[in-house]
Amino acid sequence: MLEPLTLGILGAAALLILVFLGMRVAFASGLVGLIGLAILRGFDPAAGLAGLLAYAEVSRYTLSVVPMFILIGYLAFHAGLTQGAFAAARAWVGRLPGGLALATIFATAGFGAVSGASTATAAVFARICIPEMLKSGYDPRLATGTVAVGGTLAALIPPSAILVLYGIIVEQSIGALLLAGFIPGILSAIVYGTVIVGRVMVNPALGRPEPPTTWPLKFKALGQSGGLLAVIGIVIGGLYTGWMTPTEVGGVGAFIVFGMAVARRGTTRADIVEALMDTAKLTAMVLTVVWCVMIFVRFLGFTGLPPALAQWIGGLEVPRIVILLAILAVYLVLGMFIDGLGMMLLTLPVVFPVIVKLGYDPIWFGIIVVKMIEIGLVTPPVGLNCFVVNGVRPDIPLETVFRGVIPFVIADFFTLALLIAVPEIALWLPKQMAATGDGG
Amino acid sequence: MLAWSDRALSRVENAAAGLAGTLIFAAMLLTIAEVIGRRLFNAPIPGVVDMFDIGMAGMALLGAAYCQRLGGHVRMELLTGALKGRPLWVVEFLTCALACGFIGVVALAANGHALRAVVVGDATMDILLPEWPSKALAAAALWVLFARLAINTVGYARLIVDPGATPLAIPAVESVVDHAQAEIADALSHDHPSPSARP
Repeated sequence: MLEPLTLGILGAAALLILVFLGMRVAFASGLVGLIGLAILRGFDPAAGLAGLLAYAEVSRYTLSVVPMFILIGYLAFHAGLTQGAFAAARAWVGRLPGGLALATIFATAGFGAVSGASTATAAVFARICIPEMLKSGYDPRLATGTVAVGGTLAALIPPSAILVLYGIIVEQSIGALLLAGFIPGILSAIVYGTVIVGRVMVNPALGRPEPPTTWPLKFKALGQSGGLLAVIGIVIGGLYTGWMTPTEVGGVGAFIVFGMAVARRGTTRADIVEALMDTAKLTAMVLTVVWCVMIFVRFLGFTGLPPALAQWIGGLEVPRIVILLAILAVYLVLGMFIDGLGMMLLTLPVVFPVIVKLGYDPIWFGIIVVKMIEIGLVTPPVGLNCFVVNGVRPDIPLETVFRGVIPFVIADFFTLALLIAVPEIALWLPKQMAATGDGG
Repeated sequence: MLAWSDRALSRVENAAAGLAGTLIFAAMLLTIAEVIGRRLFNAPIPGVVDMFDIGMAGMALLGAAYCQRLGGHVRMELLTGALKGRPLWVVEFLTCALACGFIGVVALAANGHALRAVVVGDATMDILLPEWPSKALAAAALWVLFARLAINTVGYARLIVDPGATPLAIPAVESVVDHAQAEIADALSHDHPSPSARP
């Protein structure tokens, strides 16, 4: 009979091998968990537990926020929010150096407040913003890089599906996590904006400012993105005051966006049906990983591996920041090869106890992990956002897009360092909520 | 035969995913009713949390097979992206067969739980909704996923025997480029062919 701890290590290794072979992350983790539990407890109890978890782990009210947020994202494409966001941002910041690129960043940030999906945001804005920028003579690297990184803002700015999943796996307040992403998301957008302005000031040929507009035009443009502002207000306000649960925030947001999509000319019933089918598909994808990973987590729990590892790492004679940076380095490498969701759910069962043992804040760490995932979305070889931009504009080489994001990725490391040095950037807002409402 | 079962199962999967989408839409309307009722008229709908608890299984699981058909479940494509021909199909066959076996065990166990729920009469905490319909739906969704994985496994086996054959009954083999195209199709669906129209 194997020692449970040895079995835990073997199980983790087996999982890594299966994932490397290309087995779907969900099924690989469920299978390893099932076999491990069967070795520890016998086949029938293990199978019974796996069957129970498949139902029990998804049949939870807290998880219902996932399909709601996904639905908002898919409906938003039919609600005309994207063009409105870009027009408003263009009217307000277009006059600055690199104005259209800046407008792109702020429009993606604004749209990120109704959508939690990075790649989808990049796809839509690639279609809207890149032609405008190229028409105005912007450097293709700046134009495409801006769209690719702008898309990543959606995962930090609430609603963010990935933060919800983090909260579910590590059992933290969803409301607090969603709020915690808000300021770091805005900060990232401002840092990206600074990069753009800085680069264009050094080399004005990269992108010239827009002609000035009048104040009435500015407010008119803002008015046209009223629906977007309404959803932002409901999401942030609802979470902050604790007036609504995250699911209710998602449901109300989805309903408003649905109303806008229906009211808009050109939206067909087929569009709505397709948005629902896509929502069902993505929901199934996300929640299948959740219940399967939970089987693996049960198995790991029986082996005692996570606390043993946390104990061992916690006892190392090195400053905790070294361990944190080592974990982030692993995330950086993993993020280059695997989807962020899979990476997060695979690693958290082992990494999270270590983080807690080291005394880091669980909410804050969620923001750090999501920031790492977002960096993985724009770094080669599988920076999906860059492929998406290239897919929308096949005439611009992929290499140009990857080169275009380099300055932004460097800036992201600066943002990351800032978040590590000053955790309050993430934690201030949720702490205010704790003082005023009951949260999620 | 394989092509026929692939098409037949696709219809079942579309219907299941459609049901999941409908449940999600209904859940949205339910939250609206709850928020309006509770906040404006101080009349909360009794047992909303219970309704969500039993509705979630359908929302979460009914789209799983549809997602598998479209190659939507998360995976790492480092190795499969580099392989070609028979070695690729052997690896795909093995991992798919393992997944199929795993889901088979889970579906069988879920059946047992659903039957027990009927016999014992499991009910939710607050308004005592019976749990068996939801558990039966979960088991059914897992069986559809099992069938999809079984068909995929046969599809891979066929390609091991004859790597030159036209791929049939396997999920869309996504390179990063294909994956990006699928994301674009999702996001820009109003003027692109729908992702479900892909072979």
